[in-house]
Formats: sequence, structure tokens, C-alpha cells
Amino acid sequence: MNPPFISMVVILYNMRREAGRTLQSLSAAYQEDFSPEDYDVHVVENGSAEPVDEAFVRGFGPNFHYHRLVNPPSSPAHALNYGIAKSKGRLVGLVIDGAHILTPRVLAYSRKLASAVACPVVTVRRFFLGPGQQPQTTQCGYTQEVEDELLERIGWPKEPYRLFEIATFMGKRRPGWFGRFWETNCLIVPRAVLDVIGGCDERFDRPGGGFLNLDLYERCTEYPGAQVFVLLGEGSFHQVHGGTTTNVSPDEAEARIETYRQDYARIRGRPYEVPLVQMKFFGSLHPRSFLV
Amino acid sequence: MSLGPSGALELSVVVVTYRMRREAPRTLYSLSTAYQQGVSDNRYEVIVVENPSDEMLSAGTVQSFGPQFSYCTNPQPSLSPASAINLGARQALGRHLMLMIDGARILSPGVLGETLTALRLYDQPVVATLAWHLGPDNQARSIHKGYSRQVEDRLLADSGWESDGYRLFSISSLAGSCGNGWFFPITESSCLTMSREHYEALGGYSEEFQSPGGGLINLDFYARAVANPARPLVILLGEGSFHQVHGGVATNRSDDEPLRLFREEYQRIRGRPFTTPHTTPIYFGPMPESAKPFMRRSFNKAQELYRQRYPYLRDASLQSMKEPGPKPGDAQAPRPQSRSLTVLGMHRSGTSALAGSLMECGVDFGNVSHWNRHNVKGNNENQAIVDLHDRLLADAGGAWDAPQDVVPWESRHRQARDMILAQLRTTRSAWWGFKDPRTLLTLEGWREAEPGMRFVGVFRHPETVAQSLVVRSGLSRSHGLDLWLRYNQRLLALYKQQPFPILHFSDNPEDFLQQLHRLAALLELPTPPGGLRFLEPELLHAAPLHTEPLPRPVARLHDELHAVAFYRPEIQSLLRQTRQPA
Repeated sequence: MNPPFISMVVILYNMRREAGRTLQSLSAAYQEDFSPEDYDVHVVENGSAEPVDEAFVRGFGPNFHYHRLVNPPSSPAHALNYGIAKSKGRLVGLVIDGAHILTPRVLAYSRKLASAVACPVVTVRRFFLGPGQQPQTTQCGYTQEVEDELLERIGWPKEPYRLFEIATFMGKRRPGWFGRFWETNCLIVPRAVLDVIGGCDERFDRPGGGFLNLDLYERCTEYPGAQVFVLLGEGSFHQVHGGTTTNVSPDEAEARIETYRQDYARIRGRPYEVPLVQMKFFGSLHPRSFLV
Repeated sequence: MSLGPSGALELSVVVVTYRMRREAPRTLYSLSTAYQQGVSDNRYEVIVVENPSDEMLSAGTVQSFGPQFSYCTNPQPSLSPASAINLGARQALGRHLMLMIDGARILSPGVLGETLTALRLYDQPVVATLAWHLGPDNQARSIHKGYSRQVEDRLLADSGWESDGYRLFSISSLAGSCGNGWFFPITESSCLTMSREHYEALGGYSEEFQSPGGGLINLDFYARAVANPARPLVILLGEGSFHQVHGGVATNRSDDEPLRLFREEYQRIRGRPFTTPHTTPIYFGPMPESAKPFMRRSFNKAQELYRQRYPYLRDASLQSMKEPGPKPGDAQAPRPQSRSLTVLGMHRSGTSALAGSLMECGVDFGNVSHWNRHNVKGNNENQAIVDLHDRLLADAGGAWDAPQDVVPWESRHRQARDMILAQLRTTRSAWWGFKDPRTLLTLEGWREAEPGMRFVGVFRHPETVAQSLVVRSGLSRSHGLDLWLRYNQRLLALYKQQPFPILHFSDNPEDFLQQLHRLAALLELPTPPGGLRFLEPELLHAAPLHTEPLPRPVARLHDELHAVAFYRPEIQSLLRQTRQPA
């Protein structure tokens, strides 16, 4: 049997509410031009106290697989590596935070790029659901209930691109579609790249991984011969849950980021700097993607 | 049209030249491997087809740019480039054709490489680049302000474009064919690539177009090329073609005469007027820093357009979650030193100009819109208030253009109102205020929460308002006049309860400015050192032709408003006497 074209690895940690939407957005019914034979999804439950059911995951399609890790390291690095090892796809998509809903052409555009360039590194812009940065909005009344109502108001998942009506670019300085980039919650790369760089560095062992995701982005985008693409008009949309930096107060988030920075300097032997990557863009800009 | 056998080449570039001894060498250099990035000379060929003139290129000049360059002259000379470009296509060996109908255009350095990649993304896509004019403006205008070949030569020499072609963006302006940039429809492409099969199916360029330069031939070809949904349109981002000034038929003329003739020719050939195709593109390519200003302008313009068209989290309750700030209960705690001033008036009656002037005098209108396509200076409306009003009116079964006699405020409306007021009351100014013509329909709920609210009104001639509504909103004249009546009846009724200044928005800027200065004096508002500047003559559209008499109730109300208008000295005197202490 041929390996699937893409394997998506999704890490869950106490995300019973959020996982349903994330997985639905990865289903063949939602992703355009993909049938279950073309790809698979490996959901890795990373030691959650409140895990989802295996049957719930499998309910999204025959191509959905569930792996439950018991007492794993607190960082998602090991869980990602576990999912990478379990999967067989020629491309691997890493969703480090399973609370992100995707738009429907992420997989199709990734496949197009893989057909046109030798080593595509595909990245997807991140958005917060709600009217602003969730560390702020959650201090001012934004809750899971408000979010549920918003998603209901746009009729998700019927018209998925209406997500842009209820979302905000992640990042204090509003990067926009063409701004600099150093992290994504949906990184799709050829398996060979992960093999060569050795996957995720498990020395990033903080809960949430600290700069694990930045480190992974940096090492993939600097891979020799890689062409880095940002998908235009596509996005990943963060649902509010108790994330390690996304859903704590701004002061607390700052303090944690400083610790992560120190970890990075210790592991890599140099301070973290945003990589200077030559990005290219690919995609269609739905009128609603101008709203954010 | 049937082309010759296709070889192993991926791409054939066909370039048409005519009297371009100065321009063509730069164009051809920009197609060479010395300049284009990431592409080798065995992947493409360049075929130059020249229409005969007394200023021709030589084969040697063309071939000096590389072994993949060839040259021929068109044996069927014509004023139109159609036969020349079709001749080049017939000679082409590539599986794809890149068509450059005007050989005076320099390409940016990624055009070939990005096009070759884009061709692999889809089955037979059409790959288009946008066009720029070298120089500070569209050349049709700049050549009348001193832009010339000599100026351009110096500009190019100083730019260092030959070593970094993306610098061309820094010395160029968008061409008229794509004046709104990447995120709006374009009318043509001067560097358009497609499969041979698609080109053949289209029958190539239409040789029926015989106007000088081909008239609308390139627009016609582009429109036909992108009309097939099975041939997706890919637009290259961050790349472009850059037109050198050379006395072209359309690009370097300032009058509309050629265009008129071209349109007539198009209509004659196609049996309908030319319209811009609205094919949704897929974008592909880089975005170099030098191109970003064009990207941002285009993006912002598209954003303004789509924010008008689609809702975007405008609820006050959601907006208030953006920043830690006042909560609903805070509405009961106004800052004692600030007072509120509400602008009242019918749509299209000068409320924006009045609000803008009050803002110049320090009245804080909160977070307002400074953009509106019907109002060059912006409408100065607080979107949260407009949204609340729209919901109130809709819940009452009406709309701004279908006013209901009673607009009930329910608790959810009050909650949104209190959040808006709490935000406005955080001002550090002595006055805060808001303006939305709908306020005349919803005022009761505002007065309930802000009993001390003061008003400034404005009215305008009913015929002018009605005609503006005809143009802006597509209403009939009688509907517009009826709306004028219903809004202004409320304005006058309020005045009769407690007089307040009602300005007359006349078509004389000086007159209105004088009223504004008197208003500032009455309210003890500081005017800016240079005087009030907001009102500009362009805001005052020409007075309408009064073709029909006004309906009697409208004419009578108009007279009544003039009788209490603020420009009257006796009204100013009355208002001074009844003025509340500061």
C-alpha cells in the first residue's frame, strides 16, 4: 500500500472542547480535494487528565488514528516525535497545539506546492478567535462561551472562510499576511527534512515546549534547498483554552517567555533571533481574509 | 490556430518590438540568464519579432543576450502587433508561451523562475504579471511634467537595477491597467504565460484589431485567456514588468481620443463593450521590500472595500474585550468635568463636516471612521454606534431608509449603549460626542442614559439631499424627500422642546465656516490656531437643478428650519441667553 501523501500530527492536551473542531477541520469532508486515502491524521493525546475518546477521533474518518501517551514528558516535543514516527506520509504536517481550527485548502495547497518545488516548507498564519489577542481578551470577558457563540454566529463549518470575520492576527504588532514570521501552528514539510534534522528537539522540555516550536520552524526553514511558503488566505484559528502563553495574563506570559529564551540560549549556545527567511506566498485571498 | 511542433523546452518568450532601439536592449537583458534568477538558458528561448521600421534592431544585438535568443522581422508589417506576436508563437518550440506584446518592458528578476514554478502548480494555468510605468507617475501624465527618455535613462542608471532588478519597484508607478494593485482585477498583462494548447484554443491574438498598436488587442486577449475556469489565473506577487517611455500609442498619450477609438473597435469586433474580467486569481511569488508599498496600498484599499461589505466583529460588546477598560456598570460614573454633544441631522446634510469641525475644536468623538467612499473626509462615525443603531432599527422592523415611529430599546441594546458611553466618557477632553444620522430615530435611549446630552443640529436643502441619496443609495427622489421630511421633523420637534443650534449646510463654504466659528464661540470651544480647516469646497457638491417643485410639507418644514437656523442673529442671541454655564 502506498504511503499517504500527507500525515498530519495533532497534539492534544486537555482539549475535549477544542479537539472536535480541530479534527473536523482536518476531515476529508472539510479539506478540499482530499479523500481519506490521500492523507492520514495522527492524534497524540499527550498525557491529558481529560482525554478524548478514541472512538471520537476515529469518528472523523477511517484515516484518523489515536495515540494516547500516559505520563509522557510535559513538553509536546516527545509527542510530536511519536506522531512523526507513527505516520508514513511523504509530507508531515505538525500541529503542536491541537486547539487550532484550520481553513479548508491547507492540505490542497501543500500538495500543489509539493508538486511544483523539490523541498517546500509550508507555513500557515495563526489567528486568535475573538476580537483581539486572547491574553488580553480573556481578561476582559472573552470566554469559551463567547467563542462558541461567535462560531455559531458565522455558521462554522458551513462557510469556513467566515472565520476571518471573528478573528485577529496573532501577534501584538499585527503581522498581516506579508509580515515576518517565526512560528506556525501548522508546519508541513517533506518527511526527509524531519529525518535529517532529527525531528523535534526533546531538550525543550517545558510544559508547552517553550521555544520548541520556534526552534523547529527555524531548523526547517533553514534546511538547505528548502523553499518557505506562507499560505495566503488560509489560517489556523486558536480556540481559547488554558494554553501556556496564549491564555495567561500578559505579565505572566512575558515572564514565561523570558524563561523560554534562556532555555533556548542554553540548548543552542546562542540567543534566539528571528530567522531571516526568504518567504514566498501562495494562495487565494478570499474577500473575508482582508477583514482581519 | 495551430502551432509548430513543441520540443523539450519548457517556455518560449515572444517579444514584439517596433522602433525600440533604446528600450529593447534593456528588455532583452532582463530576459537573460545574467539577470533572471534561478533559471538556466536551456529551459527557455526568447523570440524577438520586429515590425519593420527605419529604426530596427539587428539580429546580432538580440543574439548577444544569449544562445537562447533569436530574431526575425515580420514579413506582414502592420500597425497592429497581432500578426507579429502570432508569428513568434508559430515559431516557438516551448510547451508554454510567455507573451510580451510591448517590447519596451523590463521584467523583474524572478519573472521567469516564478512563472516556471507556477506552471507546475496547476494544469495549464494562465500566469500574469502586473505592469508598472517607470518614473514618478503614469507616463501618460508624467511626460507632460518633464519626464522623458533622458530622465528615465538617468533614473535607471542611478537605480542600479541591472544588479538588483527589484529596485525597479522603487522608481516606478502602477500602470493604469492595474492601478489598484494586486488585490483588484486587472485589465491586461504585458507579460502573460499559458500553455501552447490554451493559446491555440484561443486562436492567438485577434488580427481583426487593426488600430495603431492593436487598440484593445491585449485586453481582449487577456479577457479571453482568463475566462476559462479550467485554466486558473495565477498572478505573480512581487514581480512585474516596467514600461520604458517610448511614444507608445496608448501608454504615452494623455488624451482619451485613442481610447475612445479603441473601445469602438472592440465593440465592433466583439459586439459588446469591453469590461474588465473579474476572475479570482491565485497568488504566487515573493514580496520583496521594494514592492511592499504597492502591496500595502492595494491591501488597505481592498480591506476598506471588504470591511464595508462584510461584518467584522463590530459589536460593542466584543470590541470592549480588546483592552482592559470600562465595564458595563461604569456607565453610571461619568467624569464630571466632561460634557456630551451630539450631532443631529439627516444623512447627506453636512453632519460629517460638522462633526469633523467639532473634532478640530477638541470634541472627542472616540474611535471614528475617517473613510467613506461617499464622503471624501470620512464620515466621522463611531462604528459601534452605527451598528447599535442598525440593530435597533432592524429590531423595530425598519432601517435608516425606512424609519419606524417607535424604536424600542431593549436590555441588550442598553447594555451595548452603556459600554459605548463608558468608553466615550473616559475622554480627557472637556467635551465628548458622537454623530450618526440615525440618532434622530433612536434618541430616546441615549437621553435615558445621558440626560444632560446637548445637541448641535444641521440641515440642508431637501432637493440636494434627495439627489445625493439618489446617487449614493439608489433611492428615488420622492423616497429621498420623504426621508428628509421624517428626519427633519424630529430635528425641529427636538428644537421646540429645548432650543439648540441648528446650522444650515449651504453650498457656500464661507457661510458654513462662519456658522462654525460662531458655534465654537457659543460653546466656548477652542478653535485651532490656523482657524477651522475641515470644510473644504470639495465637500460641497454642486447645487442640484430644481426640476420639480418640492412637495408642500417638505417646503414648509424647510422654511420652518430656516426660521430657527443658527445663522440668524436673533437665534444666536436667544441661544446665548439660554446657554448653560460652562
